[in-house]
Amino acid sequence: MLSVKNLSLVINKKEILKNVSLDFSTGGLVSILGPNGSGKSSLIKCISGIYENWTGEILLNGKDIRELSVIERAQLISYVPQLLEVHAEYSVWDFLEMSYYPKLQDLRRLTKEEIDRAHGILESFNLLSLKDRSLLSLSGGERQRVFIAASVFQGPKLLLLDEPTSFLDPKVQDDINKIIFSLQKEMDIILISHDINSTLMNSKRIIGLKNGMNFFDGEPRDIINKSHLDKLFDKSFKLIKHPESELEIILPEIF
Amino acid sequence: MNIVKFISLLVAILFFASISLMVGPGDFSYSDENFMNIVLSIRLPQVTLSFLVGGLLSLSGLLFQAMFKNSLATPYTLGVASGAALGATVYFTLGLAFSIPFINSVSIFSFAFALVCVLLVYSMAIKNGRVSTHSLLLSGVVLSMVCSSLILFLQFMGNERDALQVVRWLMGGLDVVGFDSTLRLIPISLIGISYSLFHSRKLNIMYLGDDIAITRGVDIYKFRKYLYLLNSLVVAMVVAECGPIGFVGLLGPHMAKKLFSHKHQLLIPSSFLIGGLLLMICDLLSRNILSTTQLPVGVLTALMGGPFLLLLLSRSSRV
Repeated sequence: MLSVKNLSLVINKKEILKNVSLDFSTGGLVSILGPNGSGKSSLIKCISGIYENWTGEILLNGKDIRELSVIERAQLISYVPQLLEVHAEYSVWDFLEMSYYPKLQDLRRLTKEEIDRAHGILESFNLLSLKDRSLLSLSGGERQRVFIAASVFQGPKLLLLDEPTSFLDPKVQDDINKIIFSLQKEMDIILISHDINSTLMNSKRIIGLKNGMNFFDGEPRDIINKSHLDKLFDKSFKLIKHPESELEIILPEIF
Repeated sequence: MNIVKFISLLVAILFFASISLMVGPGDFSYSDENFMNIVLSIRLPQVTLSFLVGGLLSLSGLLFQAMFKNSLATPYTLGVASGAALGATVYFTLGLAFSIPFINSVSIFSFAFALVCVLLVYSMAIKNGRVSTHSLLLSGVVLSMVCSSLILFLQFMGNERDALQVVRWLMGGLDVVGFDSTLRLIPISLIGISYSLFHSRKLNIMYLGDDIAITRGVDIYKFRKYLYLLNSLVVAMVVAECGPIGFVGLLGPHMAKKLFSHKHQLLIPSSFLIGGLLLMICDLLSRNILSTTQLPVGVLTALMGGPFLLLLLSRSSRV
């Protein structure tokens, strides 16, 4: 289980994160909300090991992640960026195999069981028919599904997702969200999202970040209210009841 | 399919190597007793050297391209060749001739200066034990410029004969007698190929960007450091032997990516073989294209490589 204590990060003399302490003890899906520049991406880059010049404490299953080697960390944590630029003609299968590097390392080949597992994951993500296609030829939605599938194949205990549904149309966003929500049975997930309604309905915990500091942290129905959202985004929101499900949904005020 | 391509490549290499051995300046008949001497002590060393140099430059270009995730990176991007050229210029213009058995004294100078350049660029680019590719590029390019200015200064101050020698060295050449140069390059070739093949999965992942590489378990800072130092050593040794021969380091990897795949398990051997074949063909042409003299091979690689690369790029939608 992940625990973050007094995490601070300075980049180019700018304080990006200021004494952030977060509790991820609920496990499952934890969503992070916050305006642009609030430090969300930086937070998960610290957790994933991309940024190392932070101060404070990040513990995974009680172990300081600084004490883990790059390969040990990658065996426990995987990361899907908002936008992944691919500079070479790799196929979907190649990418899956590359994501399995923490376990394969330099010389070992995939065993039959591992190949079967990879096929199973591709099938469950509806990607088996695209196995040999170049990543460069895929649509945004297909590519994002491939990235998440590859991270699942990596076999982490914790999956970090940085706005995986940005730039995608509503139907594809729904498909990806369904995949993410179903994955929380297998691993803990930290999701950065701007989709407030979706996170409200599916997360076990929601964390609000603003100006690099904790703004709120708690269970969705306790923490998400008009006052919190208005202050977090400096914008007015309305909470209304969905006409069919009767669940409370959030709408931004129309200007 | 890839096996067929590799076999075709090997057949092409053997074919052009045989032609290179048979054809060359001078009229000799097969029955002439000098013929075997010329083949064994001049043409064969030149053929093996051109193959090794072409292979190493192409491999080095490929590794720099993976390091920078940029298909336009070449073995000379980081100023190693400029350092070597400055070493050669110092040697020629200051008249520092000396002799060491089996080693060309200009090679010692160019190698030493290239190494100094590598270490300077490295020390400028390293911060907190990490090499930043951005700083490497910047310091490499700046140091290259400084070396070029110093070369011009030394040429200006020196006499015409020295300046001519410098210019001739800068054109690159494979005119050797005996196998000394080839033998000197064989160990670094073996080290370079085996190191890069061992780390081919890491090289593949480097193309996905730093964030993905780190989160897939590649210690990019450490790997980049070793890659830079090894690759620079390869280039320094090659340039010290035969001057800066251009375009092979760019063309070899590009052709390998077109013919084979973007995976380094295949790219490393194929780039090496293609680079070797290309330089062997250029060497064959440079020795025979003019009836009066031998054209420096570097002139030919640039003349042929430039348009050929443009053709390749114009035919592909992506670099």
